[in-house]
Amino acid sequence: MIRNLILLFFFLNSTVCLSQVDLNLILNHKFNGDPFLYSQNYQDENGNAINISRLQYYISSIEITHDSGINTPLSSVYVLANGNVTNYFLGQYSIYNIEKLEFDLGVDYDANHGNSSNYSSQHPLGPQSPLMDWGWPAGYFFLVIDGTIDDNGDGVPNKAFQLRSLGDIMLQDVNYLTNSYESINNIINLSLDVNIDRWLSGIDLINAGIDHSSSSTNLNMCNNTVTNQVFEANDLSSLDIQQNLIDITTDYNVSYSPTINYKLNNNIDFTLSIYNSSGQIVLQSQNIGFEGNYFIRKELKSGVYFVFFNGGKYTYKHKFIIN
Amino acid sequence: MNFNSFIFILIFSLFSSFKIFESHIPSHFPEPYIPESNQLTIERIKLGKKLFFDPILSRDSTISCSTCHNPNYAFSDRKIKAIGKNGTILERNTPTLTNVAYNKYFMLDGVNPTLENQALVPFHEKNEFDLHILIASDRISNNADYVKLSNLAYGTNPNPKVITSAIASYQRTLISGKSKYDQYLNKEIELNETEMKGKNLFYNELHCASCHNGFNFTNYSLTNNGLYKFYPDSGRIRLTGKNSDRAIFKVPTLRNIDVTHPYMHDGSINTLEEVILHYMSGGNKHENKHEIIQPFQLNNEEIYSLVSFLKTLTDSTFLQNH
Ligand code: HEC
Repeated sequence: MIRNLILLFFFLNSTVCLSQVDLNLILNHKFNGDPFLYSQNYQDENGNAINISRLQYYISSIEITHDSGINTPLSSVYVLANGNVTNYFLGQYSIYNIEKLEFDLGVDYDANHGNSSNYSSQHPLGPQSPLMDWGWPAGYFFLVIDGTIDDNGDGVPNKAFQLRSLGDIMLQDVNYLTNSYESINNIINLSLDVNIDRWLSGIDLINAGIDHSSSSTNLNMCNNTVTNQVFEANDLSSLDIQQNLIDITTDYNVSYSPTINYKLNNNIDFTLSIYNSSGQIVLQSQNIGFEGNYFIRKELKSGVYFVFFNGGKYTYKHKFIIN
Repeated sequence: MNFNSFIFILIFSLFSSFKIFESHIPSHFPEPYIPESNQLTIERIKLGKKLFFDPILSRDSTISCSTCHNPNYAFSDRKIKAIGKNGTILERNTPTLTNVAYNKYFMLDGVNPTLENQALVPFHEKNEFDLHILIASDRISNNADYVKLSNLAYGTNPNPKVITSAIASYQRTLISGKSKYDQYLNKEIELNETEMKGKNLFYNELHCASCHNGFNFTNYSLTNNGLYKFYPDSGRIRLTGKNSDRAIFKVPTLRNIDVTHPYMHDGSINTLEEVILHYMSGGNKHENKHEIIQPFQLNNEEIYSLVSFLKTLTDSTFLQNH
């Protein structure tokens, strides 16, 4: 009897201790099954060359079912996902084995009718660059896919489209992910494939144009999230494919102060330095990690600029121009 | 002290000291809604006023809020459509800020929930300020005056929240309630016979007051008054996707209406006489046109009377005092 009690004590104790894990969301962006890069062209479902220059979306109202049916909502967590960023830390939780993952694409009604200036710029709902909130209706873009598409068969994608979905009706409940994820070394990686091409299925990209609204085009794109199962549980092995694909691009949405999208060698911490064409340093920022979106946040004069990423034995150079 | 109006003395506690703000809210006006999180203080209003008139907030430092919301025209601009950065023509007519503290939603299609939110719009628009709010706040942070004012007003250095909150605070003080018609209501003066005839048409004979009613001459609803059969500007449907939201616009206040021409969301009507001709025609057929908008007849004298009444809604102290 006493022995059983002691065992029970240890059992309870161990579940409590064991269960503080780092919960990470891993988003493997893919296009037609290939790793997604901003700097690469793909083919849309009609065979037209396509380039995506910006992919951003919100994930919120995350709910995790774990350890035989316990439900843990991560209600204060908002993820702003970006096409070139794979790793998102969700926090530490008392979880051992995840049975179901549910979340919304977009943000809840209250947040969507709040005010971005009430949050710091570090918060996903705070002022972002490029902007994720839109002043006119005071709401957030739930899903943004900007890019160019070949409209004349020359294989060059040069017709621009901007699909930026606004409005509460865009919200999508992703509730079909029932794969299990286990804690390994107190880390759980919720690894998902994000199939960008499925969002664009059935969308007339050649005629989409600039669309920042609740249009039926944007609604169809958002609805594809669930109907086409854009998010799929990942078998982890395909993670390797994404390793060491370097992707550095400039986002000119704020033309005088661009954002540099970067994806560099996994797990190396880089330093970013920007020089003007006379070789003077404009700014430097340390510990920027190996993937992210760096908003320069300076009113740059027109001219040519060079970005250097230095990390260990690796150095990458990237050029951008302010007109 | 004007015995016809209350002077609300509002006492606010801030940084453990007390600030006093006197607001002249006319006695026949309700108290405006002021959010808990952004109570009015003299410092906040002062900071907001400075920002409102300062072109530092626009990318090329050429325009401020007051470029389009000109106090002399009751905070509108006498342009068909507003003129933005580099002379670009914007999509809509600039609305007046008369009594904007009482609005329940913002933008002409009513899609924006608060004055604090609305203050972000010109920053985002490429043809308006076109300045990222973080860069705007960095600019202000480099100005010692603003840093001081911001700390007095909100107890912190400038940031996006300070900017939007202060601009909202200033706008909440734009109260207009001393027009000729208000003086008549307060039994200080009489309206002449023509104005009285116009008043009777407005309130009793015609349908005007079923939408333009209350102390601020609006029931704050969104509707369609039959301006067009096909609207180039589809309004609220852009956000909601609902057909019932196509081309419905805010019922605007008619206070200071004589100075805020041209009229309607697109500035397409130049004079008050033409507005009345529009309503007399019953407007254009539109699926969302309010059913009360039906044709009616007025002779020239009646049109003149109705216009004369609308002109009694001009508050000259409001136009001069800001
Ligand atoms: C069904 C509701 C309704 C009724 C009834 C109505 N209006 Fe309006 N009124 C509106 C709406 C809505 C607008 C704004 C339309 C737009 O911006 O396109 C407006 C605009 C106006 C404007 C222009 C305001 C501005 O700032 O641009 C004037 C002046 C006006 N109405 C006067 C009148 C008069 C006079 C009558 C009576 C003959 C009347 N209205 C009846 C709803 C109504």
